[in-house]
Amino acid sequence: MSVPDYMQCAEDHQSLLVIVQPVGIVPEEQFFKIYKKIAAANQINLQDSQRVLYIRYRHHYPSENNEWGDFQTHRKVVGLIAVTECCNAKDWPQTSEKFHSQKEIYSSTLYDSRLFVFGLQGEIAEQPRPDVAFYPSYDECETIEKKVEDFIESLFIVLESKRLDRSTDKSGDKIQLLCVPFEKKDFVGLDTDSRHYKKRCQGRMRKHVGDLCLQAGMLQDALVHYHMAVELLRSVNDFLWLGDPNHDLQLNMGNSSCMLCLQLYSLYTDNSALEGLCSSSVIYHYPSGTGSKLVRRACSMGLPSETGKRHRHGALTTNGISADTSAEIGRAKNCLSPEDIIDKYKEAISYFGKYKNAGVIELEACVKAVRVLAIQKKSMEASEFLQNAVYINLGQLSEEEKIQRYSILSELYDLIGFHRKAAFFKRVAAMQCVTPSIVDPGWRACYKLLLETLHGYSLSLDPQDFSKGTHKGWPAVQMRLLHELVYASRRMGNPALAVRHLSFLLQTMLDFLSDQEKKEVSQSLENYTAKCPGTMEIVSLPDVKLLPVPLTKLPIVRSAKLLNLPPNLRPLKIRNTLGQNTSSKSPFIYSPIIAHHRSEERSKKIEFQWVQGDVCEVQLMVYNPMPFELRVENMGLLVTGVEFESLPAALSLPAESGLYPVTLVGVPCTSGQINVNGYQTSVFGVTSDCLLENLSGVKVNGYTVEVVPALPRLQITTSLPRSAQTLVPLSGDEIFNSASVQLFNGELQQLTIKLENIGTEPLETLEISAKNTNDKEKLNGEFLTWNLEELLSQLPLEPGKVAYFTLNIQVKLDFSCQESLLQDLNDDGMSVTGLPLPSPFRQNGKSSSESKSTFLNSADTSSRSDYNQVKTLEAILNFKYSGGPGHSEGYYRNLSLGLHVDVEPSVFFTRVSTLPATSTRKCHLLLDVFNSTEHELTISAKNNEDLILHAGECQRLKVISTIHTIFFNIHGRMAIQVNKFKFDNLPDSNNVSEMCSENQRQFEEERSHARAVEINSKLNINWKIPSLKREGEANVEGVLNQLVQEHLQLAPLQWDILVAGKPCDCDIAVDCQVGEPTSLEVKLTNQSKRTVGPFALTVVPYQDYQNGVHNNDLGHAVTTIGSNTFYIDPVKSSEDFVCSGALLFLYAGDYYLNIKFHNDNFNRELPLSWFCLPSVHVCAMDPAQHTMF
Amino acid sequence: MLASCDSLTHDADDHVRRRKMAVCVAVIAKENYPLYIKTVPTENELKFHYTVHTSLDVVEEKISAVGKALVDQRELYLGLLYPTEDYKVYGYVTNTKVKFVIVVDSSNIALRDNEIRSMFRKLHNSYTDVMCNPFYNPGEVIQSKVFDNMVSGMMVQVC
Repeated sequence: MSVPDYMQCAEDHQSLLVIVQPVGIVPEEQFFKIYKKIAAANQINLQDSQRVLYIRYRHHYPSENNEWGDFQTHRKVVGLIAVTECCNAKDWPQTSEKFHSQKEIYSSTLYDSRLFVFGLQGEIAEQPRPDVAFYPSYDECETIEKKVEDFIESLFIVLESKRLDRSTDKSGDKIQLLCVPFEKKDFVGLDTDSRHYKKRCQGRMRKHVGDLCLQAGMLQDALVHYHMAVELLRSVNDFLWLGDPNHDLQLNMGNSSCMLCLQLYSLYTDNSALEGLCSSSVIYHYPSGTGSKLVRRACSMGLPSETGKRHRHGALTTNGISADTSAEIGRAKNCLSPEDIIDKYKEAISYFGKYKNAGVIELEACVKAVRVLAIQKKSMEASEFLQNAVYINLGQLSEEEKIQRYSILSELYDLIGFHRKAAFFKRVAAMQCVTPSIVDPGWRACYKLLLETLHGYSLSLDPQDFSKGTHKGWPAVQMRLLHELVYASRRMGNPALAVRHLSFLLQTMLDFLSDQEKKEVSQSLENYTAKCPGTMEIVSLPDVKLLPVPLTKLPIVRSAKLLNLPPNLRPLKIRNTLGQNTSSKSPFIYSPIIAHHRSEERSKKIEFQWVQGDVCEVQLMVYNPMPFELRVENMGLLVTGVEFESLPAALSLPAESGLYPVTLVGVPCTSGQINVNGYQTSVFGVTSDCLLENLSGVKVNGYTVEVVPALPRLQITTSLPRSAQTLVPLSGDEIFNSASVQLFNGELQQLTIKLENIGTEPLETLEISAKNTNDKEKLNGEFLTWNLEELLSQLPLEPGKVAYFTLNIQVKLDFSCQESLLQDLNDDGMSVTGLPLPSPFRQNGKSSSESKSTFLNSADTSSRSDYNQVKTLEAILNFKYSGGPGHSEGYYRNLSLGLHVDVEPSVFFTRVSTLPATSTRKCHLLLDVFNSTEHELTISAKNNEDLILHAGECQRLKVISTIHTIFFNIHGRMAIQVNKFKFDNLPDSNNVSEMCSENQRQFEEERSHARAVEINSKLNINWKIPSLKREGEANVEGVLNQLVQEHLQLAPLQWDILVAGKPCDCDIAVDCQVGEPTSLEVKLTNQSKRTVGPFALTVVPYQDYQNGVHNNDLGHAVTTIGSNTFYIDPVKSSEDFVCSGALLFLYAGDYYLNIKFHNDNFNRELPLSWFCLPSVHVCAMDPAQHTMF
Repeated sequence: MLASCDSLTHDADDHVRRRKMAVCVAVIAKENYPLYIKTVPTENELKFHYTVHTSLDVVEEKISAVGKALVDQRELYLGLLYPTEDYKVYGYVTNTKVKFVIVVDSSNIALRDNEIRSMFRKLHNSYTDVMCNPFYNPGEVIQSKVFDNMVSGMMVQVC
């Protein structure tokens, strides 16, 4: 006997062995269907007694095992059921013949046999035969169970008769010696008459009867017989047979004591339940079944893998419990305790071990013992038995037997909870399937067995189990197993499977792979994927489903961030509805509950929005853990919510790179909520969908962004070169485009801006606004001006269309304010007095007091650069535009154009002063002009003659001009005769007298500025650089200080003096005749807001000798006709008063009239400048002389 | 025959091994993954991985059996876990369920139980030192040189 039955368990000893075999050609599927039906009847309650008969069905049984039937009767084939198909009556004899030959094989042991014929109909089928049953087809065999039961009953009758026969037989003289096959030759020539021999025969027979009793369901009798057998055989040292009854005894006892144990257990648990009940004062009595049920469950839990296959086991235990107690009590006497069972097993196995040929018996005994121990939950003892079983040598085994043996060992280890050991043996079995000695290696079987070991290595093929948390299990052995799986699946011819396992290996074991292994694994993965690319689909095998393995570690993603659109493309909401954001559910501005909620939210809602049709970006920080360059292809975004066109990127990460930013882009094709869940990659030919929630480095599950309906896109180009300097934007403003321009101060330049709609939606609305970014420079006037009308007429701008827009840039900066310059100019030390002017009098006298205005020495280059300072102005031009569906949703876009203007100083006025002109209505404005350019420039006021200034010169020119004339002076002083200003239209401080001082000062400043603007516009000074053909305005606003302004202001009291009817305001001398009275009229016009006067004026004539001597004593030469004192009554606001008199010049000559106010103290409250009366120059001539001229 | 499967490939050089104390020393974390493993015939490391890995079954069984009874006075030394044809596997469990496994050659009969115990004690002390290192994160693979040297010392020849 060489083939062990690993499925054997202790209870098999009480069963009858029936072989069910196909005869002739029976379809396998149909055969097993029938086999199943037959095998269902494995336990028969005999009608006339309480005994139960157990049947063991086999469809295959080696006949050499049958030869051991005398040793242990349950090994005997006692029944044969043949299944055959016979469609034709012709074939019937042949089939019948086959059945009989089949019977022959087991003829020595067979009690009875049956033949089930399928498909045969007709007369043969009609003939009733006891051992043959006919069925028309495989589906119509309802009576088959009945037939089987009848068959078993017939078996029982034979068994019972044999039992009775043998048990009564003992008194006979000659007892046949039962022996196992290998013993037969040993007993040849042995003295059959010896006492020893007889005892042995008796003992063996006793054991045999015990077996029969057991099979016949008479447990009690069996026990008695076994005990007797043990006594007999021990005395004759028949160890093999001794071992067996012992063994059987234990097995039996095993069973019965199993039952007993269970019974006891149930009682125990019941008691404990009662105790529990008592303590909790519950009156109920638990049904006694509860406890037993618990035990049963525990029992079935002990052998999870077995429950399916071994219904009988469970049935047995259930049965045991329900067995009547009287039998149990009787049994208990002969029964072995659970501990004894193991001891006896050990003993029996050690006896079996003495016989080389009883290896199978020993092995089976071990297996049975382990099964018993597994129920007893004695894993350690069981493992010892198994360990022993490992060493049992069964001689030369075929590969198939080896596989079977390892598998069964593995199963048994599983049974006792040694999963690692089980996995080890399973793996050995798997390896055995494909040993090189096998011609046709069973890769499929190998693979299947390997899959079964996964549990033992605490490895699951679901990558999710590894994605978070620490690694479980033993990496070295897990890796080995995965490698083997890969290899097996490849040899199976399933590359998809190999790819899946290999990517799993790479994904989960990355941390444990050495650099060399990483290279090898990825190399082989690439080789596999060349044949079969890795996908994200589930690979289905008949018994397992392999989930897709996303390679989230190639590359490792550390963070994912959604990027806002570039500032020029961001959609902005027109804020017409108040508090759109504050309309959240809570009435509180802040609540800790809400705040808490937000932090919990794993799916982050993003503040900004994306726009339909515009490329949006997600930035990932990735790194490559591999020791070589990693090529990632088709890296794209995975989104849900809206239609999305992902634009995949390919990247190549250097070996063991640091964090590396990768931007994934895509275009949302519809609007709505978009969820960014993860990304897609293709590495080594494996496509992976990596979800953010599965990444250990990323905290969020995904992001949600709102996608706004499409908006137009505007592109701006300017006629100017792009700015080299980047503008420093103000907070919140971002510059899309920028232009830079260089200007001389005061110059006007036009900038053409090209607006192009490069989007897909028409541009419907457009607004433009400008903002200066640096306001530290004081600007005179607006420096950006435009006319929007023309542009707006071109709207709506269809996609692809272009519109133009003109922007005027004119900078009026005040360079003269530069402190340093003035300082320099003053400290220069080279005080240059103005040359005498070929013009009005009193100039000389003034010039000394007029200060040391200086001009810059052109050689002084070092300081010159300071004045040549370029000032920079920056402004942002905002284009707010909208259109398309986004417009109707209330979104717009803002495009900013940065404007960088470098302003070079052109001319500026370093100093300004005034000189009174001859007329009180006019005055001279003296301007020191500085040309800070490197070019010659001309300067003109009111389009008059030009003043040429050489490069870098500071010239003080004094051009005294009337309103139409410019005089110029090479020294660069410019004087302009201007009419005094009235500033009537300016707001009066009286209106705001009640204001506080702060406001008043501010108001004063504003007024002063307004005056300066008016003066500037009147002056209209222009400069021109002929060489560059550039021109612009020069601005005097900055230099017009308060004093100068006052000087330029027309006094509110105007005094007009008419001599001989002619106004003498100018330097013109009035001619008159000697001896004739000359009328003198003084007119006061009050333009102030108050009443002035009364005044008294005295007219004093005098003569100027032009040498500083005034002769006031002219009583002999001039006579006043009437009083020489004028009295002026109080003059109300905006009224005038005229008083007149006359003078008589007695001699010819030049006379001046000094009109003086009588008393100084009466008009103290009014400024002195209000009482500036023009001096009168009269030229009295003889009539004759007069005619001469 | 089966035993040769247990030790998948048989190391032929018995002569050298005989004089060694331990052929494999392993430290296994509470969660049953290796923190440290060192074997003497390094070329056949995987075999020992399997040996140590399967021995965990017995360790767990022993812990669960003992654990219920006396948690406090539990004997840390688990004794012989299982013998194979060529090796004997001994186990030891700290109170924090960190397991030490030492594999010795079966042919080394001179080795007494007491010596095995002292080896484990030494190993435990050294492991404690490793844990005391503030730069060591529990659960990481042990890379301490001192520990490694100590283990190497266990593996050199006795006499």
